[in-house]
This record gives sequence, C-alpha cells and structure tokens, in this order.
Amino acid sequence: MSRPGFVLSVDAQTPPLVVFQGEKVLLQRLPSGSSVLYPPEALPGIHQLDAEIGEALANPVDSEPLAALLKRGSRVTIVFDDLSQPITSRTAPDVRQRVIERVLELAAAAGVDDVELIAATGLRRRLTPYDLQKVLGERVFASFFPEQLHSHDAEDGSVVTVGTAPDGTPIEINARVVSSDLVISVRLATAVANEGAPAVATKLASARTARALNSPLAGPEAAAAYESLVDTIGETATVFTIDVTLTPEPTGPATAFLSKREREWSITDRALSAGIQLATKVLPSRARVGLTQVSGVGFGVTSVLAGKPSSVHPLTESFLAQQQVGEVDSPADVAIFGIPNPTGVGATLNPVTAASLGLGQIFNGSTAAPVVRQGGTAIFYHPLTPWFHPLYNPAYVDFFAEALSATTDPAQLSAEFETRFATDPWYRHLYQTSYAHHALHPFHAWYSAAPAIDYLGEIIFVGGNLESTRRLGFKAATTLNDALEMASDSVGLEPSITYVHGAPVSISEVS
Amino acid sequence: MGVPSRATVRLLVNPIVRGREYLSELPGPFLFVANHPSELDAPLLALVLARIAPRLVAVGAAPQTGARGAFESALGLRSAGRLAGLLNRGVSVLLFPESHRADDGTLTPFNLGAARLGILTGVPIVPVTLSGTYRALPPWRHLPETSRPRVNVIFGRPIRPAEGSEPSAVNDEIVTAITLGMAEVKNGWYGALRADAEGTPAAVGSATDEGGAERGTARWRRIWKATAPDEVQRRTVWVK
Repeated sequence: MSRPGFVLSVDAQTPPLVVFQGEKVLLQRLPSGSSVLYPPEALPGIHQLDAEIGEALANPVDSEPLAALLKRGSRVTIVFDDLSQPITSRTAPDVRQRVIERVLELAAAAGVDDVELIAATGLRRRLTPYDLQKVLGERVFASFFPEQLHSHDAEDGSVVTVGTAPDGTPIEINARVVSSDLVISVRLATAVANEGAPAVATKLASARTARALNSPLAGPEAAAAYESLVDTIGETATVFTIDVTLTPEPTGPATAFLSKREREWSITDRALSAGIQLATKVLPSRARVGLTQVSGVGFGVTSVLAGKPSSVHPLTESFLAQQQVGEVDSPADVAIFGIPNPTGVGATLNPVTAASLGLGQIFNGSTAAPVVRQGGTAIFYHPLTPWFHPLYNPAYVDFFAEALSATTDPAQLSAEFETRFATDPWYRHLYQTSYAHHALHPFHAWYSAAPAIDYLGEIIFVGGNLESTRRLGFKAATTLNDALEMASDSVGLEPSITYVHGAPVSISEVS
Repeated sequence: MGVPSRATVRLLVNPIVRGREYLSELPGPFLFVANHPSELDAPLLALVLARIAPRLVAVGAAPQTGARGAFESALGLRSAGRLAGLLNRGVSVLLFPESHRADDGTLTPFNLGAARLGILTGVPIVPVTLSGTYRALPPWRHLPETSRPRVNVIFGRPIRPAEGSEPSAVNDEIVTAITLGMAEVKNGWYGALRADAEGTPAAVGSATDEGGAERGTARWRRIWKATAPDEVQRRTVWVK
C-alpha cells in the first residue's frame, strides 16, 4: 500500500506550491484557507517484470492459459495501445515490447505463423516507423514491419459489419481483427477511465462508425453499442486481454520532487526547483519544451493482469481506484488545475487539446466526484499558444480557425462543420498516408469537453493567450489573483478553493 | 596484441544489444556463456554489462600457450574451484567454453565445464550470442575496421539448472540458445523462434556457422564469407 493522498489547508506557513503551466513550472502562493489535494504517492513499480508477465499469461482470469489458446495454424492478431499511453521508459524497453515479445515467444512455440500486429489508434494518427520501433522494440519491428505491423486505418475500406447500434448505425470493425481466431489486446492504463472502454473494438472501428457513435446527437445509448464486442468480436474472434497498470506520473530521480509535498522538499529538491525556475526564465520557449520532459525516466509498472476482458477490466479498474484520492468532502466553488506538456509527445499541446485535457479533469480526474461544484469556476494554468503540430494537427488548424471562431456549441459544430471535415479528401489523404490525426479528432476532443463546460460557470486560463482563450469561449487572466477577481462575480469574494496538485491523469494525446 | 579496453571498444564498434532487460531485473551474479569469434568479445561484453555486472571475470576454455598459459595453470586461475569462489562472492563470470577456436569464427563444440560450474554453484547461466565481432576484428588485425561496424550481442533468458542435472543436457540447452541468437541475426527474431519451435534443421543448422558457409568448403571461402561486409544501412531522411 502506498502512502495515501491527503488534503492540506493552506496557511501562512505553507510554502509556494508547484503548478505546471505548459512548458513552465511555477511556484505559486495560494490564498490562505485554500485546500490542496495531493494524490496518493505512486505504488512502487514491479521489479521482476518478466516473471510477472509470465505469471499473468500462465494464470489468466477466467480463461485458459495463453499457451493453450494459441493453436497451430490459427490466425492471431495482437492489438496494442498507441502513443495515447506514454512510452514507459527512455532507456529500457517499453512494457508493450516486454509483453508482446513474451506473447510472440508463446505463439512461435505453438506454431502460429499468421500473426499481425495492429496499433489501436482509433482516429488518432498513424504511428511512424520510429514510433513503432520505440514502442515494440527492434526485434518485433524487424520481424513484422511493414506488412504485418501497422496502425489501424479508420478510412480503409477493409472493415466488416459486426452489428448495429440502437439507432441503426452499422458497427464496422477492422476486417483483420474480425477474421482472427484470437485477438490479443495489450492495454496500458495510468488512471481510472484512462484505460478506455472495455471493448477493444472502440479503437478499431471505421471512421463512419466512430462518427455516428461520438456525435453529440447520438445520445447515451450509443456508448452501449460496443457492449456485445467485449469478449468476442464477430463470429470467430475471441479476445484475450493483457492489462498493464502504470504509476500515474513518470518516476525519475530528477523530476520526482515535482510530485512531492513541498513541505518535505530536501535541499536537493529546492536546488533543482531553483534550477528549473531559472531555466524557465532564461531559455526561449521552444527550448523550454523539453525541460521537464528530458529528466523523466519512466513509468513504473504496478500490475499485470491477463484473461477474459469482461473479468479483467473490473479488476484493473478497482486496482486503479485504490490508488486514487477518496471522495472529496464537499465540492469547492473554485478548482485550480495545472496542465503540463505531456511527456513523450515532444511538442507543446495545441489549445484545443489542452482545453479538452484540462476539462477532462473535472469528471475523470484523480477524484471520484468532481472537486468543483456545479456552476463553480475552474482555473487552469496553460498558455494556450495557438500553435499546431504541422504534421499531426492539420485538421486542428482549420477547426480552430474556421469552426471554433463561428461557434463553440457541439450540436452546431456537428451540424455545420462535421460533414465537411469528415469528407474532405485532403484530410483523409493526410490521415492515411502522412501522420495526421483524423479530421474528426478535433471534433471528438471538443465534444469530450462539452459536459464539463456545461457543468461549470466560468472557465479561466491563467497565462492564456488572449485571442485563443476567447475563441474557445473561456477567459484569460494574467495572475491567479486576477482570475479569482474575475470569478468573484459568480462565486463571491470568499470562495472555497481547491487546488489539485500535480499533473493531471492521462497526460497524453487525447483519444 | 593487448586486449582492447572498454573505452576503446565503445569508440571502435557499434554494439546492438538485445535481451539485456532479462538480466537487469534479477539480482546477480550471473554465469555468462558466450561463443568466442574474436578477441573483441571479452571487452565488448564488459562494456555492455557495465551496469549489470560491474565486476566481470572472463575465462576462455581454449588453452593458453606460452608463459601466460604456464602462469595460469601454476596458480590454478582457471580452476572450477576458483571460479565457484568468485561466483559465491558475487562476482559474475564470463566463460568462453569452446574447446578450440575456429579460424573462421564459427561455433565449435563446447567444453562441459560451463554447464558443470552452473550446476555446482546454482548461479543462473546466461547464454550470450556474439555476432559480427569476427568481421569487426579478425585474428589478423590489430584494430577493428574503421567504419565502426555493427556487432550484435544477444542475451538469452537465464537458464537455472536444477541440482543434479546432467551437464550435457544443460550444455545442449546453452548451445541451442546461442544458436537461436545466431539464427535471429540471420532470419529475424520471429523467423528464428518459429524455426526453433519447428526444429527445422536447415534454418537453425545453417545459422550455426556465422558466415553461412558449410563446413568442408575451402578455408579461404569460409573466411571470405565470415568477413563479408554488412548490407549497407543507408540512413534516409524521408520516412516511409
């Protein structure tokens, strides 16, 4: 059991607290009486990962051992998480590589020749050969790339209809997956709800299906459409899942102090903090991007579970829930969150992604219930610089420039812009042949933020670029005091304030 | 020539290491058992194992000649007792159990000493395949070729012999693992695993001689093959 989280009440003795703001790390003094929510400290990672993986595959939950499921001549597809989950280590092999190598060793021994590996990208960008090599290692890459190792393509015609959603939308899934005898899904999770839906099919659906089921007009029953696709997909494919949970934050000696409680900082931690502060002041913004990324060493693996997805998923969820802060006593009037740049992506977040990531913390944060009351104010720290990755985000540029400047209402966006983006041949070309996110990706990111926008009264970005913050429908403030002043109209002059310490969970590319 | 140091090796060759993660999670010491195509092998392994086995004693089975051989045998430096003592003190040992070195760097029969030592001490035996070192530093050269050639170091999963195991059976296991590593260099990882699982003698058998030449062909042809340059690895700017 790791050290549990706790709530600190800020008083005159409280030192300034670490707040992430894009590529910067600020030391911010909070008003007296505010609460600071510290998440529990991460569990120590598993030391003997190899043995743990072997054990999980030999004794799966509600399933025969993997070695018995792999049969001579069977058609096996291995589906793995893409860069929506972090690369777990900079120096050692990624945990996906460790698991998949083990699975392939069993497959080779069982006499399986027909193996294909598919990155479950959903509508996210394809993985570059470099990404694939980093995630899976040179051995797997050299053995299978490019024919048997590739990313899912939602626009490719090779899909099979395996059912219909309640509204009549056909559910089209990657043909290779449906025609397999065994689908082995390797999934990573750092926090509850970060692992995604139990059905692996959600990340392997066609763009048409994803569009229909994620539309703001689809209603809640659309989410249930994949329910029958958890343990089996289509007629032949049985799913065997391997769930790996990670520590929520990178565990490296150099940046570990950023998630520590500031009162407990050692002399070294203070020196490192002063160093980061100085570097933030001195370096130009492009050079700052890597500042807090380089030093992170990796994510520890806290558990490996394998077996039948419908049995394993609840176990993984409850294991992750144990690591979270319990219920908040009463939701505050004002909640404060810092948004850092994700580790491993190597670029600043674009404003749409940053906003949806921050707002995602309201309902899917480190607490079971929202930390802020309905109609309250959320204050985020992020510069919201209107910068978009030229290779990954071409559709985002137009979504931000054209669609969001016209309206921020999901229903209206869906009605007026979605079809044009979804059918644009240039976006499709970039998605299929370059490394661009699908044109629907910005829409879905925005839709995912919509419930939080409805729930909150005001949304203020400290240090946010004025123009882009306004375009997203939020307010920009220069300092925390300004932000609290702006919020006082709706929450009064003496609001209760909760600061959620540390990096948000699921700090990766938005799925 | 003298044995090159770790730092020199780092400058001279480009080691590609696979399977090291099997070891980094386990407590030492280990008994590394490797093939021995070149003089580069011991310093190369000392380099790639710098973190896992900071102290590594390398011992070859092939008898040393001259004053050095006399000195070693007089002090019993290569005796099983001394090596077992080292392992018990937590020092990892690297053994090259080939009874004699082939002139073209191919695998020759193993002395059973390595397997016996593993059974005696109970220390995990780690099979290591070295490939490309013969080409990088053949016996007639004093320095490796200047192009910083790629050399492959492939670690197999540790073998833990049970007490009272038959040394020849353990030795077979080690040879299989090293042969699998060589097949991996030739046929790719999954191809090698499949061939091994099927017991296809052709695929595994041809991989046993590093140069790919069959035994019985002329010596010059074997050496010619063993020193054939790598396929050119062009670096491309554009990703496919």
